[in-house]
Amino acid sequence: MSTRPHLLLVDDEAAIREPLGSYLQRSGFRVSEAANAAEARKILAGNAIELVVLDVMMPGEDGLSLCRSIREQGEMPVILLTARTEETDRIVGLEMGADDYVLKPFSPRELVARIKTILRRAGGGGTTPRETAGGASLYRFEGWTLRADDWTLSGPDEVAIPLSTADFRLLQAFVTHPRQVLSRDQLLDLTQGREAHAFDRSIDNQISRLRRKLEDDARAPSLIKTVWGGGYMFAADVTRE
Amino acid sequence: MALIGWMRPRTLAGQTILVVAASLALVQLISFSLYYLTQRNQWITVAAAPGVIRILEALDPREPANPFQRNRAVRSLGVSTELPPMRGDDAPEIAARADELFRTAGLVPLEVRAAVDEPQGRRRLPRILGRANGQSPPRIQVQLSVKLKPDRWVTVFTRAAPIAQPIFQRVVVQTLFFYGIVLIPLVWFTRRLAAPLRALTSATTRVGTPEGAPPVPEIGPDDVRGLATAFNAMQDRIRSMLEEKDHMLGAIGHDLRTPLTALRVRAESVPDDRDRERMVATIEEMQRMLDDILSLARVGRDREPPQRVDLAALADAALDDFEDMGMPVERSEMQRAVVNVHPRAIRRALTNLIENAVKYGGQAHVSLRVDRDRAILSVADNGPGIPEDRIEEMLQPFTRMESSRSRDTGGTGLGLAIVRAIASAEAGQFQLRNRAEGGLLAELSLPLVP
Repeated sequence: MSTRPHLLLVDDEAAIREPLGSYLQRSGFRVSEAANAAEARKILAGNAIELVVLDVMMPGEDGLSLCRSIREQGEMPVILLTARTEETDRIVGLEMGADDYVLKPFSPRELVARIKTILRRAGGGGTTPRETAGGASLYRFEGWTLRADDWTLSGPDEVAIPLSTADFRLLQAFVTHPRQVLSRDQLLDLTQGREAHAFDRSIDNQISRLRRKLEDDARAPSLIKTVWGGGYMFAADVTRE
Repeated sequence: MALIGWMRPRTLAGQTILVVAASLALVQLISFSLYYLTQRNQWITVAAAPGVIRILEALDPREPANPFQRNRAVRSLGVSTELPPMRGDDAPEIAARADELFRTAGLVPLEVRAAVDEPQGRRRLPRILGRANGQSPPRIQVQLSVKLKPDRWVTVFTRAAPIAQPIFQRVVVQTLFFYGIVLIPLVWFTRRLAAPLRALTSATTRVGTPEGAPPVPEIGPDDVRGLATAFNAMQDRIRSMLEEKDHMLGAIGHDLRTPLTALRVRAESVPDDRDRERMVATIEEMQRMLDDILSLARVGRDREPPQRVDLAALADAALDDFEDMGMPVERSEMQRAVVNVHPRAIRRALTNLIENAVKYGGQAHVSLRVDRDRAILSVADNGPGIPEDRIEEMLQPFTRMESSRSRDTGGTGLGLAIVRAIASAEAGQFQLRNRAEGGLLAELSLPLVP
């Protein structure tokens, strides 16, 4: 029993919290429930919580604020539950330090899959480097700018080049882990956590598509380097805004 | 044409100035006509009087004139039995005036004739233009013949100065002077009147845009100021209504999502697999519908400025997404075409078009071409197309082809309405037409960045 991970579920809506809590319990987690930020803090103080599932929209102190304070205190993973609004895309880039987010109404199975992925990353001895806490909405490297809020890449001429979902996630994985060798499995893990449909292109295909967009010569790449036997490395310094 | 355009100004200031200037010109014309007539009337008297006086002096026995004067008067008179030849132009007005003068003096002539002889080649012009060079004007000879008895005509020649007033110069100078007095303040005033109206016009064109119209400065005369005040109040009301709409949509979105999420979570506990899958599909369809309604309501309300975007790369990215999901999409080779848009909105529009083409037409073929200053993104399919008379209707919200209302194709009927709303918010155009070779062609055209 002690191997069951202990989750904290924070949502002000009992209609969601209660059935979701029992679903998560059935899926093999220990679950504590909190209806607001104050209750959540109490539970966090008195229990060894391993992951927090947090609703963004709550009366009183909202989810983002609680998330930020959890992040300031430690490395506990957080998954945000958010409505698909115009802000959603921006939330991703906000300095809130969440590890992942799901859009309401979400599939409970998918939520469980995400929780497992994150717990594996956090507890599995670092098989995949964790995405650094706190995203950004702009990443700049070598004259290029990647905008996380509308998935566009712009070159020195400042004309935006929209990226496909797969290309964006791959590039985002690179810019958040610059100058680190990422294996194909790690890249898959970083890019495929989010939605149910799998990308049937291989990572290698995606890499060559991305290199074309970045005008990176595939035979002598300067940005996305192939590491023999190891995977790929993003060979540029990235500044975030 | 340009002259006519200039003569018929379109602005408030121009029209006011034109009307006032025309009225002023008319007033000047009337006043100078009166002035000229008075001058002329006086001149007729001046021309007639000397002759009348001489004849009276010569004839009146009661006149206690000195003999020298009387002699001179008599000598200058010509006496004849017939009407002597008239020298110069007949001047009936002078004759009539002389007749009046004789009658005033108690003499009743049987007939009076007068003639005016002007120096050659200078008939009327000098009288009107006056002398620019300051020379004394040539004098005019006036002949006055009076029939005192049936066979006795008395004729006298006198001279008179022409009307020497430089009327034309005076007209010009005076008119310019009046124009200066009236029109300069008028120009200033109409500009003062027009400025707030122009500000109001430019503000009105921005009512309802995401950034909203700026408040109009409340300046100018009271009635114009009142208009500006009323406009600002209206603008505030519109802004608060739009904010209320956004707020309400957000609240509806949130409030409907909560029960939907609760349903979605509970659906997972339904033991029967088929029932559970159907419930989940229904919930997802409700969710899509909610998303579509919210996006349609929010089209064009993006507060971020548009960016320069390569439309070819945008189409490639959207197509890559469909390919990655294993959907039947094809593309033509696309050349770079830079447009100034909100990339997420255009991508949403293109995604809707590709989804429709795949759903109703079996597959989507996307191409991009440049036609003069526009980039045209086309999505073609091989489906049955749409009857010509229903194409316009299909662009209305919640309209679907009858045949597609079945469960399996789903759809909210908002996809094309969203595309059209996005096209108009991004200064583009959207049209649907049936292809000659079968299938539907959807075209989204956007202005290229020059």
